[in-house]
Amino acid sequence: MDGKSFLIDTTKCTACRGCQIACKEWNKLPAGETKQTGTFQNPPDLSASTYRLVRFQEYPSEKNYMVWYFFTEACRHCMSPPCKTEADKYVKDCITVDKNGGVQFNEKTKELGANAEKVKAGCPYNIPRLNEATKALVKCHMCYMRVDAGLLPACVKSCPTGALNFGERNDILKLAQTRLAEAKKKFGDKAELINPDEVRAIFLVADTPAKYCEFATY
Amino acid sequence: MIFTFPACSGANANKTRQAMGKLDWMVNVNLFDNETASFWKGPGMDPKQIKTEVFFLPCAASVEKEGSITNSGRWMQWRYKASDPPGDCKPDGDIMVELFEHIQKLYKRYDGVFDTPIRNLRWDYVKDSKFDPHAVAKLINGYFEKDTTIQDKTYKKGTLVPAFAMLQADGTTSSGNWLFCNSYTDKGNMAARRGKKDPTGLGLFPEWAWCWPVNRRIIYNRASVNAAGKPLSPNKNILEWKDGKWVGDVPDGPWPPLDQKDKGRLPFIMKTDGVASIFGPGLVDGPFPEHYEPLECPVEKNQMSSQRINPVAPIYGTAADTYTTCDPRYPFVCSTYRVTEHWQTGVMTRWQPWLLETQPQMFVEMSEELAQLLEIKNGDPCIVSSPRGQVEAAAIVTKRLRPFIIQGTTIHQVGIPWCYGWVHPKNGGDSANLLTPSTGDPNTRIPESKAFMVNVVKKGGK
Repeated sequence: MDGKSFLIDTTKCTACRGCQIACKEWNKLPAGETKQTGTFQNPPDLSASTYRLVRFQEYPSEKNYMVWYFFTEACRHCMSPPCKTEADKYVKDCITVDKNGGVQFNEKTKELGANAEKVKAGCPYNIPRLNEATKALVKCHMCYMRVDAGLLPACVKSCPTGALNFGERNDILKLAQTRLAEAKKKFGDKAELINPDEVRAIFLVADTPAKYCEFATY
Repeated sequence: MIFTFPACSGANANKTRQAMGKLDWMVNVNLFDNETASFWKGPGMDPKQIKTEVFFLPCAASVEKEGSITNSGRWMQWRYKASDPPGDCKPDGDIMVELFEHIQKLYKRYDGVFDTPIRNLRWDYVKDSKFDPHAVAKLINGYFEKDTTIQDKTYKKGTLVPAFAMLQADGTTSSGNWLFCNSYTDKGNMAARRGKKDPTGLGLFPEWAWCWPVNRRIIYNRASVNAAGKPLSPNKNILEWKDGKWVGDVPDGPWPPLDQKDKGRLPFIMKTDGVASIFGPGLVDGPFPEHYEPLECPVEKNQMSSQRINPVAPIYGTAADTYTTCDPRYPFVCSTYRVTEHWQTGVMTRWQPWLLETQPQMFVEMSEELAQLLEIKNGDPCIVSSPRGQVEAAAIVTKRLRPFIIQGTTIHQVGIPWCYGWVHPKNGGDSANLLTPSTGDPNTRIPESKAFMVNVVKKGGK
């Protein structure tokens, strides 16, 4: 059993943010009070009430005078999750891996106390957030309850462009190669898959990963 | 003001908001409190000076009522009710019924002008003061009011008229709208059909919902065939004359192809001459492409002709309709647009916390070059003004906007969305339409809010 995986094809993303809002809707996560600070990216960062965030970056470009990169950031569901390795040192099995390969934070993360910061720091992608009210560590859970019921994760279901894809890992790896070839043809040799062998949320980018998001890779 | 929202949706919104203060009373029907209903306590208004009495009636959203919606492709599609409206909110049908029954009661008690139609209005499709969308849909389709024989068939009084060809001019039939006759017949509610067959393969889906008139999916469809009745495009076979009859979509009239002398009829049957036209009576602007500058523009001369602006564009002469061109006080081109996260004026979406979180406040987008010129940094609060009003907006400095070189001069453009209003959220800003001019396309009045002139300054700056 190879489990499930996502392919996030950023070259097809229009930043409609349907995924960001679908995630909040499915998980009943509250909206925060935000301000317009000079970007479409809002809320400004992932948080205990934002498991998925579309990040916006713009750069000058010789070809089309500018490029606008969108990066729908959430947990990568690592094949060997370093957050679990770290957390097991303090509270055994407060982080587990489910039958689909989804990395799950459970109620026992509340027992981590001050060690929660070490678990957070153990994530190379800067994903986990502390719920200040419950003291639990939280993040994307691969919509395990939807997937168990044969449904797509809420974010994937909401995606109108084919940027977000989800399925059996083998199928997703194949799709990733097809989409990579298409992206290389269209955007050039800089197109790459970010750490496809290490994660279950594989990003396809058309340019250097760091230009999309500070923690796109490590 | 039923589902209309002029305090934010129309050009020159300050003029509109002021004008509403001249009304004796105003009824506003909407889902939420809004800038139209509460205009009298809005920015720059003194409620003591405004005599307008406002009645606000909270209504059901589209998913909270049953009925039909007819789209711009003429498909009448039936919708069921997904949930009850909250609190005292009512479907617009119920609001109209309640209003009318009260008005009728007053007319019956007192003398009124032209009261006969109101005292005697047919009202047998309302039961216990409740709006019944099926009864109304049937009335719009039409009934036989007496036993009627057409050709060899007799239709009993009280049966639904099968198609508009059977409507009579002698009072023996009724119909709310002849175009919708055939939409609700003895076969049932045609608009509620959900058949998925698509025999032409062109997406006509003749058994999905219903299309006026008589379920014809493409009007003037005989224009798609040649004189022999064969499709002009074999890949778009909407209709074809085969073995003495039309096959495909419901033909626009029963006549055979044009090559059948004296029997054929030109396809544009609602036009006097039977042919298509791109210009005709009722249109003030001609059909051929012509470049004019917008009513407000940054150039003295149209480089394409000696006529700078469209000579038949609507221009209003009131003090509230001031326009500027090449005015150093308003040097920047401004465009208004939408954002993905809000719907139109935002009157429905600004109340959705998840959407508001993503787009919380009015902004003004500008190029890096203009930001540098104005000493504005990303996120700075700014004031955008035109001769008609001003709005506060946070600066988004972006590479997406670039200066234009127009007739040798550098011209800057800024962009603002029109999805905000002062009622909610409290710090969200106000409508971009406070700035826009009341003009537009001479034929259609599509507003010219994509190009007008403004000034931008940093808030608190010079």
